[in-house]
Amino acid sequence: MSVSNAQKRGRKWLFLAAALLLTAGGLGAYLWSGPRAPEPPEIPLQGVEPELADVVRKARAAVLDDPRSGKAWAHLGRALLANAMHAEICFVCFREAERLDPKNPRWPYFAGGSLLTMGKPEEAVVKLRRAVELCDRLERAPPTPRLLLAETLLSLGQNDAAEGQFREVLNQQTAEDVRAQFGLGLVAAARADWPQCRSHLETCLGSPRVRQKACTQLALVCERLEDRASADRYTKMAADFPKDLGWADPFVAEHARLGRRRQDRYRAVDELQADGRYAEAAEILRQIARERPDDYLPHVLLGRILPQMGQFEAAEEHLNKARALAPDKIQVHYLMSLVLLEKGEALLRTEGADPAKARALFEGSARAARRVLALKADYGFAHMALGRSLKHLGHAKESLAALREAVHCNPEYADNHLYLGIALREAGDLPGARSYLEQAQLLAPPQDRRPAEELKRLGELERLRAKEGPSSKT
Amino acid sequence: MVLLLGVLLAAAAVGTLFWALRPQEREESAPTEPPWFVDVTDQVGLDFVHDAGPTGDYFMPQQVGSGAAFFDFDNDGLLDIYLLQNGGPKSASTNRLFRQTKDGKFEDVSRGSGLDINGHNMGVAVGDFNNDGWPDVLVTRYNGVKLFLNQGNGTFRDVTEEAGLNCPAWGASAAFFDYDRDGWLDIVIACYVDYDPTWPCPGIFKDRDYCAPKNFKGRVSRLFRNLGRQGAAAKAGVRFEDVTVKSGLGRLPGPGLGVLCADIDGDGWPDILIANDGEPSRLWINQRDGTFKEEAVRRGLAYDASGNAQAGMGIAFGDVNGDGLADVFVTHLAEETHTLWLQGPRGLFVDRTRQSGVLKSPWRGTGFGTMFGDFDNDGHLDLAIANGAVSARAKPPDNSLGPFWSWYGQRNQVFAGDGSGRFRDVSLSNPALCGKINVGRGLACGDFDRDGGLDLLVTSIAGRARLYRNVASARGHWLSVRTFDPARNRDALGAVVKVSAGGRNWVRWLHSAESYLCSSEPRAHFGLGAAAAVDRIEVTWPDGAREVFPGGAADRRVEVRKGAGAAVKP
Repeated sequence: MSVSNAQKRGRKWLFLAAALLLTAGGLGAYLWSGPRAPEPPEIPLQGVEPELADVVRKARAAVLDDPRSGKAWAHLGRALLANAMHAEICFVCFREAERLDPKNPRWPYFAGGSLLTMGKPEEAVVKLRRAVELCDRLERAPPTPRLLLAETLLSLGQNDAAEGQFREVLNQQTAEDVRAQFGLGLVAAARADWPQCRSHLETCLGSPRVRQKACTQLALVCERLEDRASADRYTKMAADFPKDLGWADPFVAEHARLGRRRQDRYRAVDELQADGRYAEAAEILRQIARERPDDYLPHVLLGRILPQMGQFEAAEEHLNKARALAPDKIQVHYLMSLVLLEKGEALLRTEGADPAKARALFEGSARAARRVLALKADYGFAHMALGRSLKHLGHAKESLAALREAVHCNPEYADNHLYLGIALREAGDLPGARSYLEQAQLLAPPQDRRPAEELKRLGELERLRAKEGPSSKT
Repeated sequence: MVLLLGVLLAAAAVGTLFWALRPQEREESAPTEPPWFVDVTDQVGLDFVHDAGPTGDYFMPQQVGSGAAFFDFDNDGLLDIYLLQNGGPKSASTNRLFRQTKDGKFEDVSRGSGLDINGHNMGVAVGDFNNDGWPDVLVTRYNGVKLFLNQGNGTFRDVTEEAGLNCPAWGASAAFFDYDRDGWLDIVIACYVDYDPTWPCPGIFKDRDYCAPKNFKGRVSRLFRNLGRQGAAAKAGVRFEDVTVKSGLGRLPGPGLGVLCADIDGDGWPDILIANDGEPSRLWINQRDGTFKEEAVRRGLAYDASGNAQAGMGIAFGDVNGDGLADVFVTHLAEETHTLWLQGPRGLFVDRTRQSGVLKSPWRGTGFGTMFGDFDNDGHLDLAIANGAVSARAKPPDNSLGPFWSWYGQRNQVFAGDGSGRFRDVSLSNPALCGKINVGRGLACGDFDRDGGLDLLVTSIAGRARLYRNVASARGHWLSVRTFDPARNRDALGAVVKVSAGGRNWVRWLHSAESYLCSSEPRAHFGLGAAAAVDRIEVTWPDGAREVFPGGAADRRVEVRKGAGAAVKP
């Protein structure tokens, strides 16, 4: 049976039409849900630090160059995330990265984190579940997404679901067990199951990442369990432990190098300083000072750190630089006052020291302290520095007035009470001295022996005076 | 060809349909119920605009804002208003005192009142510290405090120095309370940080922004003991002694913003709760010997349920679940969550924010002033929050606050309580209070029109102070109780009032200072729902004595006087 040309043409048209229909339908579906590659949103960079703006600008340009690159979208999102900028734009970036690179658990994880920052925990759960699902397909994926999912579920009051996720982490026996145990403790607290809560939290006490938090929670759990002695013990432990390190996040650690904020570097300096790692902190500051020769801040911070390493000369040098760059900054003058005071006192302790040199240092210290107080009259530490300098300069009355003002402004600091107590003792006011020295002892950390030593000296004087009788009173 | 075109058109239509049906961003739903509040600021003549001083220097005290007081300074039975300015010592803007007239309007009586001072004024506390029957005023400032004695003739006298009140620290919220139960009102001041105005703080979205408190050391809260009259003469002045160190408060500094004084542990002696900005709250438990012991951690109020310290600003205090115990709500940053701690058993608290519904909101804000109050008198406490950011947002929500402050603008919130500790956000139904952005700070509560509905006063940085009249429709019955101590000649701050009506009990704690930087009307307001009559009123006075007073009809303002009721044996 032969087919006519007309029929052949008809079939061809029909075939063509069907093909076109499929293409158009596909296009429609594509437009609806397909991997569209929108332009990256505009990112306002006005007033942003130049180095940071540069990182973001380059990352955005890479997306514009290749809008179908999941890597480029992810990099832009990470650059913003590492610098705590624009959670909404971060979310868009990671959503696109996930669409273009659908097997990587990082992108839904970060998208979920961005949604949490935006205050949308319910939507975050969807993304975090996806991240967990993708992690489960990998051979060695960190449990971090599951832990964040569990914590988010807990924050939404879904205690059972949260518990399931925390237990799954425990089943996997990873290094993140402590975070899961802490989470299970919080689940138990949410259920008012205090014994269970206590049992989970007590497993966290060995972890520097969370031991302080665990102690604070345990204190209230023990109070509820009417175990007051343990409540006292945990309250004290919480006060004694250093600040928790916080949870490690391997996914976040991958993009830490993108952090460009100067304040993050200064924060690192603060942390190193708090940890007693002065040399490392000073090195970061010297680096910043080299990069930004017009910035007074690294110099003033060096003026704070170097004396703790015994480097008073170098500290003075940096403070002079800071003063030249920013003559009206309170901290510059305050630290200068302290450095000169310490130098003067160190000189006095040296055998055969030139008293004129020491006097010049104390005068410089007093001058700097007065400059501070002209800018900030309620600065207790500056009053203290002034009082100490004036004492060395022989102005006993003015010194006492300044030290009293230090206590008045900042009664919370042991040193203010201590120096006033010493000055009063030296002025012969033994009852007054005792009152302040006892207060100093109460406020000082246990390892600070100075108040006890000064009280001992005072005790000897009091005994002596008692022997001599009332006529010896000055 | 025609067929082809037809197919293409059909396909395009299908594609367009898909496109049109793609998921849309969620939009705010329309108001679903009548509003509780209308803005009557213009109507009543309250023409106060807050002066925050010049912008651009990012002077941190600007960001703390200024508060307000609802109080009856002339004892005419009508609530008056005192509003603070923050323009600085060189500013022409001075604090303003508005007297309410009989027609419900407010007239400016600032000039010559003695309260019309300029400066960086932050918080205000009201209390009759010399027991002469006239409410006095304490103003906290960036660089100290001012104490004003009400002279009973419409004027106030600055007695800061003669009363020995010397506090150089940056004060925020403050309260009058009688911590040693000697009948003289003492003063506690939440002090903020040891601020260095020359310290640079970069912003996230700007090269500079306001510093966060973590850049500076926190201060200790200051406690001043009222020593009473210094002399036999009736007009002799009172003196205060700084007992910050002696009392124990001087041991733990923190960036304090909010303060609340109430008997937390149930021993009849007032305790002190301080909300710290970014550090754990402090709960100072009165040891009944002039000293306090810090117990926030073990009593559950220091941290949230996850063990995190948040940026505590304002404090609301009230029984939100009807168990007779006061619960605590503290406002925090938008990036955090506000926290509701329920009390139970007595003196112990647990964070129940997740279950409370306060996180389910169409928007979030950085909360400052906050109050519980039964705004619709249905017998359940509701909640209001004044919001405003502390650092510039990524972009301003709109430009209604000008080129600078719009970056910090946020919308207030109001929640309806259901009496079980759960709340429902009704902000969308209250466009007057919550519809526009403001840099909200202070929030005070009082029934200025004496109609039984709690009205709100909101202060904002560089904006109008706004008065919101309660117009809630179908409000329930109510009772407003003033507790008066004739021996002291003043309101019994610290009294606890329990009202029984319709088979239910309600408890309120009398203190004028909660919220943030503000002082509210010192009355106990009870929404009674359907109960048209009150069975009894029981008062536990600040000295621990308990008395019962007869009830009567609802919908009244009553005054109960110490000694006039039937004593209740302990």
